[in-house]
Amino acid sequence: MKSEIENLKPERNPIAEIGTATLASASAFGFQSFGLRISGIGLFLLMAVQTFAADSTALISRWLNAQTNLQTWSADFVQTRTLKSLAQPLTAKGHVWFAEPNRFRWELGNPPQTIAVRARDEMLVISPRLKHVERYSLAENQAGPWRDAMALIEAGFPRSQSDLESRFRITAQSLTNEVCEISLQPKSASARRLMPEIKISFSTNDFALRATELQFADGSTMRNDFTNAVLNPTLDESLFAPKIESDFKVVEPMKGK
Amino acid sequence: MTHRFRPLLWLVCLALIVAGLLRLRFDVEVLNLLPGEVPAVQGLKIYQEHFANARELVITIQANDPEQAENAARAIAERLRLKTNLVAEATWQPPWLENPGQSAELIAYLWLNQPPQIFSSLTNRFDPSQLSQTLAATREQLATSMSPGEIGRLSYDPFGLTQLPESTANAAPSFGQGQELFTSADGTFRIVFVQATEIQKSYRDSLKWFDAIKNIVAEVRADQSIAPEVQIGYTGGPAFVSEISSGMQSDLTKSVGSTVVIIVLLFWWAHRRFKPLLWLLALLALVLCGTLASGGLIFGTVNVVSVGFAAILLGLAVDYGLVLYHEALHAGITDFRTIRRMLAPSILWSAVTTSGAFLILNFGGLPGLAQLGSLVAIGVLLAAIVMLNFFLPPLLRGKMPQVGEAKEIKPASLQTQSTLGWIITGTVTLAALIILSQTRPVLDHSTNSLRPKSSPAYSAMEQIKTHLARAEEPDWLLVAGTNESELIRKLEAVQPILTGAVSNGQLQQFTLPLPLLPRPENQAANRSTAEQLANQRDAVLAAATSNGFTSNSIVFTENVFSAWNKMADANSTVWPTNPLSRWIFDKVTARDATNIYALGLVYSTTNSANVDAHSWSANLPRDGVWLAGWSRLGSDLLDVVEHDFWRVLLPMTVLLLVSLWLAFRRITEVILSLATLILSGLCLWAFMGVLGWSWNLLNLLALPLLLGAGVDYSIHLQLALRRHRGNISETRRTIGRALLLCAGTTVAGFGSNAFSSNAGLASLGLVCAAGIAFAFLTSYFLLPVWWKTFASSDSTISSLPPTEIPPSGSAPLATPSSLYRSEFWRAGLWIVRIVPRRLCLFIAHIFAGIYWLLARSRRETVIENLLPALNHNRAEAVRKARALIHQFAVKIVDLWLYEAGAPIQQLLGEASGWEHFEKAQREKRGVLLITPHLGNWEFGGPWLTPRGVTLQVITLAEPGQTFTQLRQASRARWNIETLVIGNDPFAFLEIIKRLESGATVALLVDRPPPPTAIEVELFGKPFAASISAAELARASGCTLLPVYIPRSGDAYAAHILPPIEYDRASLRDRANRQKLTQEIINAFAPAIRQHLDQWYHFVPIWPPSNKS
Repeated sequence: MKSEIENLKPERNPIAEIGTATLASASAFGFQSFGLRISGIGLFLLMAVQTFAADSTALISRWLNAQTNLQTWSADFVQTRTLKSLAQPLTAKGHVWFAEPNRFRWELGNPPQTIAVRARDEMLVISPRLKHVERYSLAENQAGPWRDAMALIEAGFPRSQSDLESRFRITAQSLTNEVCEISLQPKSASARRLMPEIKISFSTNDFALRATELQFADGSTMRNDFTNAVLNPTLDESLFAPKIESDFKVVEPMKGK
Repeated sequence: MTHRFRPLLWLVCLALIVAGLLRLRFDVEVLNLLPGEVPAVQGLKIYQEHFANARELVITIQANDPEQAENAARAIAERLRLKTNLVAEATWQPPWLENPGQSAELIAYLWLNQPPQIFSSLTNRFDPSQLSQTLAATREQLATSMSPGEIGRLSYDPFGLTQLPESTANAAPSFGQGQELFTSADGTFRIVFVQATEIQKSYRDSLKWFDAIKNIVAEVRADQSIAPEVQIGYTGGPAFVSEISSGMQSDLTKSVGSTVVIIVLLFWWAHRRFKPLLWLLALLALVLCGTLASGGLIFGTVNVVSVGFAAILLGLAVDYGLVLYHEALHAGITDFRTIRRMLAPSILWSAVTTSGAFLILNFGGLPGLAQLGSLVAIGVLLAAIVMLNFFLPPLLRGKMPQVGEAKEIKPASLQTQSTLGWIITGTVTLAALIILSQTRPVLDHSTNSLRPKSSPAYSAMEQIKTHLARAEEPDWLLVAGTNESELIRKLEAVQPILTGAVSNGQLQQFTLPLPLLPRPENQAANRSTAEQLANQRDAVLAAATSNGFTSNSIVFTENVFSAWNKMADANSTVWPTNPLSRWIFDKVTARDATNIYALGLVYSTTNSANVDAHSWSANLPRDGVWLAGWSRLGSDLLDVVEHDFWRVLLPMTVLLLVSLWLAFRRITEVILSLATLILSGLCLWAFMGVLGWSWNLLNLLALPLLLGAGVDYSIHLQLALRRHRGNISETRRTIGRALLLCAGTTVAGFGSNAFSSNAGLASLGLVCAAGIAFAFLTSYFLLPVWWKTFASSDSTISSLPPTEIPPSGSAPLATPSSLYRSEFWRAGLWIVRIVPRRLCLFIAHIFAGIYWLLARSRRETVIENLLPALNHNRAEAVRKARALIHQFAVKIVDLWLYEAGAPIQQLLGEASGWEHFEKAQREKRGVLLITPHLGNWEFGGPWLTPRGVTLQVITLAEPGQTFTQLRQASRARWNIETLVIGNDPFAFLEIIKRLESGATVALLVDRPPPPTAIEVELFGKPFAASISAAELARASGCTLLPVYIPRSGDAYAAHILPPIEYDRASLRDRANRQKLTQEIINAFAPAIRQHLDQWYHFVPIWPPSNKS
């Protein structure tokens, strides 16, 4: 059985995360999972790509141009997670809000089981049912792979084709029923180790974002299909500054890493 | 030693040297330099000895980007793992990332350790009726969670087994922080832990293993698996051992090499001769070899600091050779025995004092430095013996080079030298004080002095601290128990103390390995539950599969159940055993044959100003609990050194004062020597302040060494000034060069340790070298001026001719001992009145023994005096001289008894020749009893008084009017009249008058005052005898009766020899008076030879020209 597990070893795999998490919670060696990258970076990448996606083709260029008008955005979504540990995919419904330049709020489940909020210098993952908050600092002075991965995405909101190509390689492009899907591969090896591929789908008629799919190193995927999207709605600032009740337990899993 | 035994002796010596060198080992363990009784040291030793971390090699990798660092770490680790003959394990990332399946055993173990009520709650979780509900909840969490940790965990732990109870989980995460970090936050710095296949037994094995590892890493780099810009470093136990051991070899070579070069240069500058230089170097090599062999025989193992002994020893040992050679050149003597006889006392005495100074380091509290002191002490004594016996003989076989005639002694230009000297004194003192008011060397409380001065391994360690761990180093709390229960009990006793210290702000935080330790009682109670759970394994796995979890996702659960199954069958306390668990447990627990050890980490508050910051540690239990750590070791050790410092300094000061007093016997010169030391110390202090040097654990002990070694120059200079009657130029010309050579080699010996890789030894060497240099410069340039001002006007100095100025190094003494004075005499008279004679004699013998050891010049004088009577058999003379000192001690006690008025009749033994006295008395022409300084001549009075004879004694004036009066009064008690002959020429008229009236007068015939001295012959040598007896015979016609009263058994026997006949008329001729004096001396010669050990002369009795 051991060999089966080891056969699963990608550069970063969930079984490795369990090893980490196991010891984090059980034995003590405080090692936190790099799994944060899996979902955290994925979530943010979605927003980033939504903003800067570009293409060498005219279609992509036009889509990129259309994004310059985007100030705020909200949509419903269905999230499909295909995990290696489960025989069948898992789905959950939710809602997402986005505001320039990089703030977002995801709510997953109804009522929300998990809320992820990205403010300027931190990201909060809130579990209302468990009254539990995970805080991840994104401050400039916070170094580490986590911050680097975020910076990879944030650092250069590409405003041009060359800017995009400096960070991503477009590996595939398809057009089906007025929906264009492009596949991007991060050029940076470290980013590629986390996420070998990102897929973005948008409508060719109104250039609205239709779906994102993040593929992780272990083969797991997370797909978001967006519906009821609203461009530039008025958003309440409190969306991005959630009030944490005093009885919530706040932890900082990445502190010190 | 007869010639027959010499080859045998050489063989024995050679065998000892070979055995010693073969036995010699080098100890690179820094902790062995430290006092073992200090708890912090004990703790560190336990840590080093038992915990795996201390034995692991750590490879550091610094790259420009994370990918390079990771690739390099992986490549190195993978290559090392292939070398199974060298490497047991190479770990480049947390083992649970590489072997996650192994974590199941640890989780199963931690559950088994829980209290039974908690562990049994798992049976509810795995109840068949609950399984589907549990798995559905897990799926829901996996679908909605955005916590990466939670997704990762639940994906492969659908039953939440990794969620341990809070008591374990809460304590655990903070524990061991920093232990498991393999990479820096930015990923550009990584470390790889490498464990050797087997523990290296010696430093050579360690060095070999370390080199092999470095070669493998170099191969990996050559294969281009590592980018060229990636920097690789090494640290950890094997790296330190390797570095320190190479450093020791290098230190030995460099310090010895540089000292030898300086010796060669200085010798060449002074003498420009090859043969003596080469022979000197050969003997120094022999001394070094012999000392190392002695170190091997005595200690077995020589430590890292002791290696510095070699250069110090060379610097000191060469002095003896230089002095011998210098003396041989200047005296123009080709008989090495004569030179050896002349210089042996001073060289041996100097060697004994120097050895004593270094041996006193044994009281310094630091075993490392104590060993260095012992080795130097052994070496110095060996050097003295070797140089005295072997240096000159081959050199004197040929023709010695002649040294030009000494220049005529010219009066010094006093005014100029004095003014300049005082200006320099004032300027130097003022400058030193100004510097010290601005900057002073501080006391370094750290342990930096124990560490290598420049060390790649320490740099790598610093890099690890910078990149991976928190800035401050934790202290280690080591707890020992004979079994698991005792260990846990002790840890639980310690925990509230630590918690209290955190609450009080004395500690930042602490971690104890309590959650990891096995709980035997819980395990025993949980075994049946574990078995029950293990039996549910198949049902649980089936439920997971039917709820959509893949086979991979339940591997962990399956492994936990298997582990429980195994643990349920165990008969004893369970410890997890797989590699991952061992990797973790080896970092926080260890065991030996008797104990289990646990390691906790304690982070002190950074506010060092808080004086109570460490007070909490006083509450820790003493038994089996040690608080250790390099950061606190410095202050703990400094406490020991400060405490023991006085144990070193006080004996050294006493030794110094005794040496100074024995050398000078004048308070002014003693004070001047002390002043030299004080000014040298002041200069050294200021010099250290200017250069930013600090005092530390090791160089603090330079102070007693400097007292011992630095004072020599002031002694030599002042004695030379005496010899040259204050002529500074002549003093510097004659002794200056020799002192410069000696100081130069000593400074070189100490200073060469500046190159030592050990920071403490380097600082000790530098401070000693600077101190010696200042002592020499002060003595050479300033002391003569001070001496001219304060000491040259002393009447003792000015009244004596140059050859008799007391005392002049190894030259014989010309005046009575300073102990012969009224104060001591009165004290003696008082003591014998209250202390029984037997006890007095016991004390007197002890005193005689000490005097024999310490008063080397006086001892040499006595030996010289006895030589002619023994046909120059020196060994016999030494034996007789030693007996003489003890006989004299007895005589003094009995004399005090007599002068104190105590009954002494029991001390008067047999008598012979009384008939000669009776006959002389009948002749009524006066009786002159003549006697040498043989036996207890003073007892003539008490011997004659009971026989109705009133004795009149002719004496010289005692040292001081009071003393003369004291002794006169004492004799008067026995009805003996004292006739003091001073410089009064009419004193003899009174004696003649008394003799003419028939009186009995006693007179000493040897050691006369200069006006009455004439040269006769005794034992074939010219001898100064008193012509007074012949003069009195001529003037009064008295009977000359030779008398002597030696101690025989427990009593004194009086022997009266037949009268010396003479023709009174012929005595008008001085030649006949001289002839009569010769007859008198001849009459005593057999008695003197018979009682040579009672022939009391403590000043030279043979004319100087014939001394040698």
